[in-house]
Amino acid sequence: MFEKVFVETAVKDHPRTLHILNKLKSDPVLIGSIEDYFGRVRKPYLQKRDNLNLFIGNKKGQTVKEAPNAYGLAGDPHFYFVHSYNCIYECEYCYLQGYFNSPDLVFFVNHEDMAKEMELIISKTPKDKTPWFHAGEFSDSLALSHITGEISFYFDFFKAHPNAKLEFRTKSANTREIEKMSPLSNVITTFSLSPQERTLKTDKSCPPASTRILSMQKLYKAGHPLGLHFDPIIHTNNLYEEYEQLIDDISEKIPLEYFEYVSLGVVRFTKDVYRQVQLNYPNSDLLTEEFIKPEDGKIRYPGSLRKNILKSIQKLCIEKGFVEDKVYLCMEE
Amino acid sequence: MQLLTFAHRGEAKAFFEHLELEAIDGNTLYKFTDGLVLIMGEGVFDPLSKVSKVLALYPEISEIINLGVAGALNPNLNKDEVIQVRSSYLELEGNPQFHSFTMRNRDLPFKKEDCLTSSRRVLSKEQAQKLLPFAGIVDRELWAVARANKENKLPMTSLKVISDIPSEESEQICQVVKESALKLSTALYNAWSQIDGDQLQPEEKVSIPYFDQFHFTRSMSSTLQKRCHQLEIKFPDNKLEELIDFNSIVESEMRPKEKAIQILDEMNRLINPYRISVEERLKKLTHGLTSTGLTCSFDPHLEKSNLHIKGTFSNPNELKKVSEQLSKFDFEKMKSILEGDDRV
Repeated sequence: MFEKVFVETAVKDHPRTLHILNKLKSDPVLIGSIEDYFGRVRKPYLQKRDNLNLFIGNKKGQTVKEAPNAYGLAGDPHFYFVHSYNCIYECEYCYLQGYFNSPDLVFFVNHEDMAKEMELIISKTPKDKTPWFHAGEFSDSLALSHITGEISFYFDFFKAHPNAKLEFRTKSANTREIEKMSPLSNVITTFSLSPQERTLKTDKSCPPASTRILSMQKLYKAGHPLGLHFDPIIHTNNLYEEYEQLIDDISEKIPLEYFEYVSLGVVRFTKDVYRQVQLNYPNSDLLTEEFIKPEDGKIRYPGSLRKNILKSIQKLCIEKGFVEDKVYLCMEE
Repeated sequence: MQLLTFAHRGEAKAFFEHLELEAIDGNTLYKFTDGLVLIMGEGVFDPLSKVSKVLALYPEISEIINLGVAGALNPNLNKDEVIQVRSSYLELEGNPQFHSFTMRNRDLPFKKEDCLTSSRRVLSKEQAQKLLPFAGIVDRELWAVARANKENKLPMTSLKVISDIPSEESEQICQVVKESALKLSTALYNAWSQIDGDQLQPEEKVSIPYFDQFHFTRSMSSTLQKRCHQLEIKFPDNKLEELIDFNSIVESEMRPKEKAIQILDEMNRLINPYRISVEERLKKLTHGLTSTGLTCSFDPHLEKSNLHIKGTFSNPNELKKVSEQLSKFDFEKMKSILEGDDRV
């Protein structure tokens, strides 16, 4: 999977490092600090296809950060924590392709430090609010969780902090580690899904939607709370029908009212990421979308089309049986 | 035409033996049937200036191939092994430089590695270990060749033969490389021979039916090229002439430039159907207002549900007409269009 594995000397004997190396059956190269290497030279994004390296180390500085507005369900404070950089999948719209200047993966092993920061936030949060912590902002939180091995740590932590919530966000079908856990009402596994046609076109190397739905079903049967992200929605002439089919496929396996929440978001890019899409995928149909390129640098559908898409899919979700106040628009204020 | 670049004459030894090289500039630039051979010298600066000069003097160069020896940073590489470089990085006095260059991805039977051009000779195992996170091999000039090519953006290939593995014995490396020059150069020559016939396809020019009946200005040509590409992606199963009625545009009374504008508009209609449909509905809705001489406009990004009106009134009658039309205007309808209230 990885061409070379680099480990910070400071964590070479850390149990999680040893667990990862054991899983990878890999001889690491010891380095001083990840920051001295990762992203210091611009490594082409598509090199991830045949030359992916792994860095293992400690996350320095702030590990838990406040999420932007409209990131999650309204009314509660949302935070994300930085446990890893980059992803094994290759979605054409992915913002990571313009983010780190390297597609190499980084696993941080100092989850105890992240938990300490979370604890502080929990203690400062007013009693009538629920602090949310989201994993998977800069990586897929489950795709390699059988290698990284931190899932049980977080289940233990959130069992001890029932007034806070944790979201594991994934595009994978890798639910093995979650399945080993006893369900907790405040630990929610969420799946980003797109209609099958779109997944095949754009979500390179991701498991098909049908496989992910089967994994969701396993968690549902075991009683784990679930969430959905229909994000990014990409406009097509049959958008409504495609999402109708997707929702029907889900509802065949899981009652829609079971879901804790469904977030909807349309495809959008920063200028840098869009430039990367042009470079990396010059024949992608994303480049023929009706995007506006306003001065704020956020490349997106024109307001009217964006609202049109979101309203249609929101209405569809509610008609099909998702609980109305649990369907929210992501990053739309 | 290919430009073959080498740091040292020794690295090009086999090329001198096999190709009929004819000197054209002292003892650094030579020509052969299919291209040029440049001996650049070592380090970042000499290659940078020499390659820049040759690229400026020979615009017919269509591809650059850098050939030479390299040290192995990756312990899994072997001496005398030929490597195809993927990406080129630079380290200057111990500091990695952010800017990198990507080589052409050729289908060749060699291992692929990234190459770090170092301003210092990498002689010890310890030094090599420090550089390994950046690249699998190290040389002294590739990044400079790529940098010289930055503006030209010619496709570049680099083939390196592993001359040494940095270790305690590396102090004598220059002597070792000199002694093995013919062997290493022959390996490079054999590797290069495998790509010799693999010429680049010239970039396909945009072609539309009745092209000579239209007049596209320079900027319109570039828009045409972009839109043709977008239509190819958006309608992979249709030919352009199935999507656009070229005959009726060609037969119309318009001037060639107007016809070209019409073609671009038709393409825009196919690429941006939603926006065009919104604009048309808004135009229809504001017809009453515009018929009184008012100019109506909307947020170009269709983000805000605002109507901007501009007009000049010269007498009370004109004002009366305008206020009649304003009172008839269906603001709610406009809002519903801009709020995206119709089904997708």
